[in-house]
Amino acid sequence: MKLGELARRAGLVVLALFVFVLALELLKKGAGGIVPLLRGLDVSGVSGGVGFGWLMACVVLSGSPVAAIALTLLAARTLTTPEAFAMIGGSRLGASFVVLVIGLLDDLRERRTEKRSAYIGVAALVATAIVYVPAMALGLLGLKRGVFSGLQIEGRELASFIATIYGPVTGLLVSLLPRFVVFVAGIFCLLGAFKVFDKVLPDLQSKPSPVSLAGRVIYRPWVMFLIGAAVTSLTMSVSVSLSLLVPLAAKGYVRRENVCPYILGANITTFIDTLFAGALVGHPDAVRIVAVLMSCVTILSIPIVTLAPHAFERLVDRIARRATASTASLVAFVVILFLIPTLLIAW
Amino acid sequence: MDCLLYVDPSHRGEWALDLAALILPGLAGRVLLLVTAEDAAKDPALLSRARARLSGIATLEEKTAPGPAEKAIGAEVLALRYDLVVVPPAGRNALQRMLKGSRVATIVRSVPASVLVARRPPPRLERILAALSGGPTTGSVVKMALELERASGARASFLHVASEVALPYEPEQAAVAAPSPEDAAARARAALLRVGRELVVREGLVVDEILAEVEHNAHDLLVAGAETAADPGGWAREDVAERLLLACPTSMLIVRGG
Repeated sequence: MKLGELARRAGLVVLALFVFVLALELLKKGAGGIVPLLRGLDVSGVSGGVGFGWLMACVVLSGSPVAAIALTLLAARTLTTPEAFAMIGGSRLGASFVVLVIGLLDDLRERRTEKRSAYIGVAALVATAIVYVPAMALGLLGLKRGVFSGLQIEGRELASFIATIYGPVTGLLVSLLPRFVVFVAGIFCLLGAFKVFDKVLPDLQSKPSPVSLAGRVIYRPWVMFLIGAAVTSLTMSVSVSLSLLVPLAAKGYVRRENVCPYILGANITTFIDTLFAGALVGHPDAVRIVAVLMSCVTILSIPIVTLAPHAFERLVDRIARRATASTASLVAFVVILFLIPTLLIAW
Repeated sequence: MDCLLYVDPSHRGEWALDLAALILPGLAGRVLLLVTAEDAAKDPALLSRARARLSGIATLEEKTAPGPAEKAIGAEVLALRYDLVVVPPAGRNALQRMLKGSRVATIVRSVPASVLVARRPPPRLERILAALSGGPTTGSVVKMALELERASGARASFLHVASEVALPYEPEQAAVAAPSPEDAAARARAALLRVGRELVVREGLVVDEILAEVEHNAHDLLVAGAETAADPGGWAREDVAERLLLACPTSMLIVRGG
């Protein structure tokens, strides 16, 4: 890589980090402004956290910002530890909705009766749900039992350093704007930071890699699992990782046998940015809850990939094919996708 | 065609002999009956009984070699070139397969020949299914399926499973000229066009769709191509033929390319 390009990417990283931390600070400061919304929607408890995180991820079309928001709400004491944990888990359940939306738009553009491009989005959502629901249950039990208590990081020194840098900016905004507006500004900053992070990504598409054969070759499940984990450790987004399966060398197809293990791997390392956010928000449980969820997802994913990958593929494929068989079935799937979190909030 | 038939003393050995009796008279020029020394010592009449079942084969030879079966077959095939090995499964359960491996999978991996795995054949072969990937072995699979059709009087049908799914992407990401999943089906179709046969295409998971087709249409024999060095992916690639071999309820022939 040329020096100029390296300097450009380094500059973008610094900018993205600056905006990312600013976003977290704004979210923390503005968290009080979202309390009326949460109370109005009756978002409380674990089910409310899951439902809210899920819906927000569908609306924002990404899971990572919602997970970061959950941590800032935890730091602001707006959410309890189990509620924040549930919201992070919920954000993963809705995170792949963007893949479904892009696929659906592609199908509508091509006027397909069978929603073929929507298949991947549905598969991603279903594969995630099958693992995350028991993972969250396991994680909540773990949190209650004090798992990873050693990861409770106070981070007072870091918090005071961040307050020194960002205090003047956030203090000014809080004095001028309503808290809710500060919170919304935080969301936009967060989305902007992730966009900048995406620009820093190495150009994986133009280089030959195992991923570029995923449209022709059926890889061993553990290989795709590791590739999904590795790619997403760079992209930190499952949806971006899935889009990277569109290599320049092939016309955007993937063997469906490769999809599930890839998503399982991606669902683990997608938490890296959330771990980072957890270290910055200044709540002792922030890193711990992310680590617990990441561990539970890993504990459940590895046996699937090593012992029963094909049964899992079959299950996800069956559901995804049924959901994308026609426009009506896809509409029904999307309705269920929004109905479940709504019911969880209402419960 | 030179064939090696492993004579198994268990009831599964009868499957191999029954299947060989149905197919080999019309297919093979020379057949070697191979038995392990340990099995021959326990049942000295094993080879003569097997010979009596295969009276329709012109050139029938016998050999005893030290076991186990995988080692005996591997050594014989490496020593003298065979086109086809006929072997029944060992009947190991899942735990035994985890500890010792699958006999037929070991043989398929180690011998440079096509392998016919015999599972309870019917009195007559009526339907043969050939699974075509559109890859390097497609031509060989078509050729073998047609030879089996001629030798057994069965009817061969040909299946391609398209397991590719479209990735959702922004319009600007679409490559202008690039290979597509239709190419694999097109290659399979082209291989059949030369012999005037049609291809059935199903969409779904490769192994599941093939097995569903076998069960749905009650095929008596499945023919598929083995992995080759020409297939992309190397060590990272999953051996679909082996998965089919272990899950297929009927006899299966794995064809080596070339």
